[in-house]
This record gives sequence, C-alpha cells and structure tokens, in this order.
Amino acid sequence: MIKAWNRFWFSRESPLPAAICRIGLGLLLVALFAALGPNWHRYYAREGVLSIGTPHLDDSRVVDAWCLFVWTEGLVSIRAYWWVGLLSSICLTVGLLTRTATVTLFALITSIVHRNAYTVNGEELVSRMLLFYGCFSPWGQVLSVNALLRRWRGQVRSRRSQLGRDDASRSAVRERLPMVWATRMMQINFALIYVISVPHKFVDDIDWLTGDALHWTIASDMWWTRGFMPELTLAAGGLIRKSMTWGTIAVEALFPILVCFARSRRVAVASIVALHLGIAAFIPGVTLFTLSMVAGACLFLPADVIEHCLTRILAYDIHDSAAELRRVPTVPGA
Amino acid sequence: MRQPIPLGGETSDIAAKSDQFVAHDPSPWVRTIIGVFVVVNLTTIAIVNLPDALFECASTTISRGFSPQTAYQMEFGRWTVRRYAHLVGLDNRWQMFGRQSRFNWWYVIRGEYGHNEATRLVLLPIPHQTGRDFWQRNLFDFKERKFLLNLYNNPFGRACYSHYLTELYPTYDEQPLVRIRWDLGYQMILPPDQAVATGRLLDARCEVRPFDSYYVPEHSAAKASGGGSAGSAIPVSQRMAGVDSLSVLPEWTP
Repeated sequence: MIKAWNRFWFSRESPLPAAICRIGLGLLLVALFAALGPNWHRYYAREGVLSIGTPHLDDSRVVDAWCLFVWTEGLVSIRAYWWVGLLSSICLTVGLLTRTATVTLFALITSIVHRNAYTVNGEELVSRMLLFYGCFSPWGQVLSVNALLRRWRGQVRSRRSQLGRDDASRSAVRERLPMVWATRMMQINFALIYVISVPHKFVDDIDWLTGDALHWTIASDMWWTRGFMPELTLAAGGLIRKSMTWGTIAVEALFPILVCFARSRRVAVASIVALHLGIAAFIPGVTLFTLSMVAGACLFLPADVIEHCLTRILAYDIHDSAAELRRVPTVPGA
Repeated sequence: MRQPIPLGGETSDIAAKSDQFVAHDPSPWVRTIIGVFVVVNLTTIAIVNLPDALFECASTTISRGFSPQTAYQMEFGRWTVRRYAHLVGLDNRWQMFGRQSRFNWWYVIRGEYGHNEATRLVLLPIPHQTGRDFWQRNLFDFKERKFLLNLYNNPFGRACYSHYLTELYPTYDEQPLVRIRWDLGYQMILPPDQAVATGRLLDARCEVRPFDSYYVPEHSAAKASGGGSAGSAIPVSQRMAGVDSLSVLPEWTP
C-alpha cells in the first residue's frame, strides 16, 4: 500500500505533459489579459462598476480582503497589475522565470476573482486551480527559455559528455526528472471537474437525461448568436440534438475513467479535447473557459506522443532530461 | 543513505516502458509533508463540492447527536476547510452548464435626465447597448454577459453598477441625471417538441418590463413618484409582481 502510494505520487516522470499544459495555459492567459485590457479599470478599479467606497453602498458585500488590489490600494495603480499579468503570462508561455511567473499569476488571478466576483467566468477558476498546483510543478523544466539558456550555457552538454563515464553525473541527470506529485494533483483535480459536474447536470436539469439540453443552448443568446444553426435541434425530429446532448454526457462522464488506463488514455484525451474545441468554435461566449479545459487535458497526454510530435512533425530535438534519460543504460544493481 | 528505487508501473507512460528510470527516494520528511498536502487538498475539494443537502442533513444529525460544544467544533472544522479552500482557490463548485435557461433576456439600461416635462430617457452607451465598436462588441466585452447575468439576481450589484453609471453619465443635453432605469426584456424559448412542430425556436413575442431603478442620491426626493430608492434597488419579487408590460418589441438589436 505504502509502496503503491509512493509510486503514484513520488515517481519521477517526464515534465513534458505539464510543460504543454503550461504553454497552453500561458497562451490563454495572454489572450485573457489582452482582451481584458480596455475594461480592466472598469471591472477592477475602486471607482469601477463596483463603486467601492460609495458612502451609501456597503463595501463589505463586494470587497474581499484576500486581494492584492486591496492590500496595495493607493500604492500601486490598477493598470500596473494588468501589465504585470500580461508580462507574467508571456513569461509563463515561453518558460522564462517560470516559477515566479506562476506564483505572480496565481496571486493576480485570485485577486481578480476576489475583487469582482460578478465577472468571474470558468477560465479564471480553472486557471487558478492549475496555477495553484503549478506553483509546485516542474512545468518550466522543459520547452522553456530557461531550458534553452541552460543548454546554451553548456550545462547540459557538459553533463551529457560525462554520461557513461561518471555514475555520479548520471545520477545527477536522473535526479533532474521531477517528482510527479504536483502534476498528479493537477490531473486529479482536473478529472474531478467532470466527476463532480456530470451528476450536477442530471440534478440541475432533467433535459440532460432526456437529450433535450442542447435545444436550450442552441436557442439561447446567452453565449452565442441566437438561433445560429437551428437545424441542429429542429432537424431529424431532434435526433441530432439528442445525439449531441448524450454524446457530451458520455464524453464527460467517461473521461475520468478512461484516462486512468494507458490503453484508453489517448482516446479519452482526444475526445475531451475535440469536445472542448468544438464548443470553443461554436460558442464564442465560453471560448476562453473551454480552451482552459483543453490546456488542462494536455496534462494527460502521453510524454512519448508529445516527443513524437515535437521531433517528427516540428523537427525539434528535445534535449530535455527525460529524453536524455531514455538513452541512459540501466544502472547496474538498480 | 537514500536508496535508489526503480520507477515505472501503471501510473507512468514513460516509466512503464522501461525500468531504467531510477531516482533517489525523497526523504521521509519530504514525502510526509507532500502527502499531508495532497490529502488536505483532495479532502478540501471533496468537502467543498459535497451537496448542500448533505451538509444540512449532517448538521441536523450533529446538533441532535452531539453536545453543543462538539457540534460547534465540527462546524468550526467545516468553516476552516472552507476558509482554506477560499484562500488557495480550491473553493470552486464545478457545475458546467448544468441548468439551461428557458428564455433569452436582456437589459435596457437608460438614464432619466431632467425633471417633470423635460424628462428624457436616454439609452446609455454601455456594452450590449449602443456606442460600441466592432472590437468592443466581439472581443473586449467578452465578460459583460457574465457580469450582467450575475446582476440578475443581485439587487445590490445592480445598485453598485448603477452608481457607476451615474458617475459616468451625470448629464445629457445639460440636463442632470435623475435616475438609472433598468428594464428587462425577455423572449421565451419554445420547448423542443413545439419547436420541431412549428419549425421555430423562439416565441414570437418579446416583452420588456420594468426591472429596477436607482436614483442619484441628490435627486432621491424624486423617488416618491417613480419607485425605487437612492442607493438601493427594488427586490425582484416586487418588481415583477403585477407590473404590466411597457411595450412589446418585435426584435431586440443590441
């Protein structure tokens, strides 16, 4: 039992899936901050839509003290935080000062959520969860500017040249493979989103069972252009709509199960990514949220698939620790 | 001395392929600390996402079966977990698109300028109304829909937003702003069977009804004639009960 626990949480694995998740999340946050730019002051400033400090409006109903904006009121301008957020998102994407960028973004997204709860959408909540675990994650170890800098400085080259000659050096490289626990936490929390939300769907709206739920989505103007593609619900006596509704439920409900097994993992990841990309393409109102789910799903991508894609398709040679280790012969007696 | 352990097995794609992955075991202290962190966080997520009904049932059982002191301690424990979840951002209740809306709705937010005969109602140039360019409509106002949705059941939030609008648009044609008036437009979505039978998704009628009012504080004396109050909003229950529709619009153009 203890052995299994240790193996599950403390094994050392390639950080590539986490790095892909980091890049996806970083791009998403760049888009989020860029799109928030013109309305940043409106949503988060004291004199913005919350009218904080208005004598006859009780601040305590909207102000959450767990917020950078509150702590630095009068010292740092709200706009400065936007720049910090944008630059940190770029740093996270390219993997420059990754840990610092992750912690900064976590603090900033938490502040956004706590400052104006009325504007909170799924993308902030998923990002915040990933960033929280990302603070402990080695997701900047590969596919990052920092990794490139290390290589340029010759650290990797010098270590590689010693491989096969120096057991101590080999061991040092091996130790560079990170422990997997932080990535595991992200994976589990991500899978729990579906474990928790699917039963909620059935409880909150019986139409998820009858297959009619997407009828209301298609007819709604809440998140997309009202009445866009009405044939999706009207054609074939509603069969397309029912198929889509049940298909959505099937993909979401089976994902946490199928992703646990190596054989079905690729299908599960491909299905969930396809579902969310489809939602992102057709329902613009939830694009950022559903793309944040795509970024989260990347955590489950098998490292060898990522390596294959990067080396074969992009002709990119990964000289990360995982790839190096794969070429290292077994240590005698290990 | 730390012992090297072989890695791999069912949890690892890479490690499953080969046994050459060898790493040094983290120290027991590190493992214990991480283990506690893992358990605390997973427990927190589970507790935060348990149904409210379950907690109400548990509270009733606790209050009956335990001493007040024990019941208080257990309640305090639950509060602590929730507080921790709030601080680290694990307090999300994951409900993706659970309840689907049965109608389309929109606000008509207007400023009432001037007094008596000179009163003018002006549609304010805010997101989802007028005065927005292409990029604002299609890119930068992406959060506005969620913002307005969250104001739907939140009179206090509407009051805050209204106050913001009074600061933003205090005059029009040299007339002072007296109040921010909210009307709610809505159009029912036809049920699936009816939609298939008629070939239409939406009911033909759009209705717009009074929804809320916010008086500029210095003009709050005018509230007696128009309803609402300075710095407060009319509760939803009052606003919808027995209010005749002001008008019937054929189509709403945001």
